[in-house]
Amino acid sequence: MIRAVGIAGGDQDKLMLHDGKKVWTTSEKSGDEWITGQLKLVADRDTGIRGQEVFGDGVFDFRYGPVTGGIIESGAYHLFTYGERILCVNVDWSYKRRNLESSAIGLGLQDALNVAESVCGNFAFSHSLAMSRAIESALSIEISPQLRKVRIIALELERVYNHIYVISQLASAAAQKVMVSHLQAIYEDLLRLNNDFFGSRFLRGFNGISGTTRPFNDEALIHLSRRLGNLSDRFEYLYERALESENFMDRLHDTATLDSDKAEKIGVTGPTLRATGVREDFRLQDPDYEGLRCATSQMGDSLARMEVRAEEVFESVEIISDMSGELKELRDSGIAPGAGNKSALDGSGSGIGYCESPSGLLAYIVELQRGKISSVYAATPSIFGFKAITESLLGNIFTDFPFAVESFGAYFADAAR
Amino acid sequence: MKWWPFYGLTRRLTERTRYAKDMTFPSASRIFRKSLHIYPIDVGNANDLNFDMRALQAPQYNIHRFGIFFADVPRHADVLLVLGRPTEKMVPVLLETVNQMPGPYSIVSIESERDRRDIESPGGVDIDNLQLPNLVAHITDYHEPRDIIAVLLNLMGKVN
Repeated sequence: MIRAVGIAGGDQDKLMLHDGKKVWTTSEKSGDEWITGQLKLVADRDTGIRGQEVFGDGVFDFRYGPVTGGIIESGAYHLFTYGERILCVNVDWSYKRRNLESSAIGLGLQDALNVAESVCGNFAFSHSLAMSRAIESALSIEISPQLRKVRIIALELERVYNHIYVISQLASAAAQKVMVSHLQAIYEDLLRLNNDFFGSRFLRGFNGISGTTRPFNDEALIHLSRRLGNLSDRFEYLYERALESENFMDRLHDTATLDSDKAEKIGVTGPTLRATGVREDFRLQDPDYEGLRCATSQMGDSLARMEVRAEEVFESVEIISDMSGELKELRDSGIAPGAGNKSALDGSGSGIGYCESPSGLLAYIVELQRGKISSVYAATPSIFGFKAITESLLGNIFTDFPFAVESFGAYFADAAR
Repeated sequence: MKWWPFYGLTRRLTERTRYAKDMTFPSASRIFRKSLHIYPIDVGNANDLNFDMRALQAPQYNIHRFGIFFADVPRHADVLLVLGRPTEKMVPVLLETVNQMPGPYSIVSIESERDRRDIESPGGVDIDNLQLPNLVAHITDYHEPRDIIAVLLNLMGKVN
């Protein structure tokens, strides 16, 4: 059963998304419907997240962003403090607002996928995949087993480089210079690997509706697995050393702690939720991921989130290796990938598509009219990630800020759209 | 397990390659020949350019060997890297950042091909219309960090 991803949380039977003052629900009992709700986060969705502002002697608003050396993205944090302890956090991502959902209206399907990829460059494949699944669901298009496996390979590659990026950012915040250099080398090698096998460092422009935009050479997958295995070994060596560094562990342990009740109430998913001990991953619903080891941790702090991400790197590398083998078996058994039903692409309908992005569940709802987008709505994991950041930072001190923010893997581009 | 420094010494990660690119703009000032401090500002890109800024610091490129360093604030920088096509709300922020740059300075604008097709930041402001001072390069077909290194080396008057 799909669990709540929406801010309403708590209802185990429903998937919830929100749009303006409405909430989209879908369940086996009642089907799909829009219901009206008044939820604070819904109202704040397009401007940012505002907590209860704190006033008093010596309390001031420390503004961090949109131009700062600490955070490269153009967004702003408002930290209410009296100088040391953080009393309230407001997040403003309006600097990055590009109205991408509305710009997709009227576009053809492949152009709409390009727009989805532009929401957040480092989650480009996740966005493209969720939207293509929504479109394929709307048009009742069946996709081939080969395509399902190729998509999983690309999705897991995206997870690997994003997780390594997050861990390198955490190491950088703790001044682990040697480790950071080596992690950055692995990170750059992963981006080059993406480019070599998918034609783009950030896996853009590869996914299509019921197919891929470029032919995929499954012979090359053998080399992909080998290169990825080598990078995974290098990462494992570094990670083991990192766990021995008391300096590093001390900065992450008990920093920005979020318990499972709070996490579920916020609606956060992905490594953040799994780091609180909740075994939830959309990939568990996918039969192609049979036997997935869902990494969890118990503490809910920055260290737990890093542990979950590291475990997921190893798991993703194994998944890619397995998928490569299965693709080879499909080819050897002579099963053709199938061209997909191109005539269905001019149809109308509505559909919903999901995918487990590196930072949590991503969902798209699309409505189509004669092969053009008439409505699109994206529920991105970073919105909930920022809400979790604001909750978990309360009571922490200023120097914990980078360890908290980086560990959640939330991005302004993803939230602002 | 090897002791950290030995692990580091056993791995040669810096690549030996040429970053040359056909460019015609001259070095902004001879004082940049030996070192160049850069400050990237995200004005509304999809975040992949920001991720590539992190990649630019990878040992494969080892930009320090060319004397290129990241500055923490615009006031310590020689070159402002403008990443993406500005959203309306970032325009005044960008102009103020330019205002904070110490002279002599240069501005390099980097956009992806999708920016030019108005996909990445629809409704964004064309940087040419902002008439930024000292805009020495406008990369509109960005692919990878090597493109940035090539521009910066040209700016320094170096050909590697």
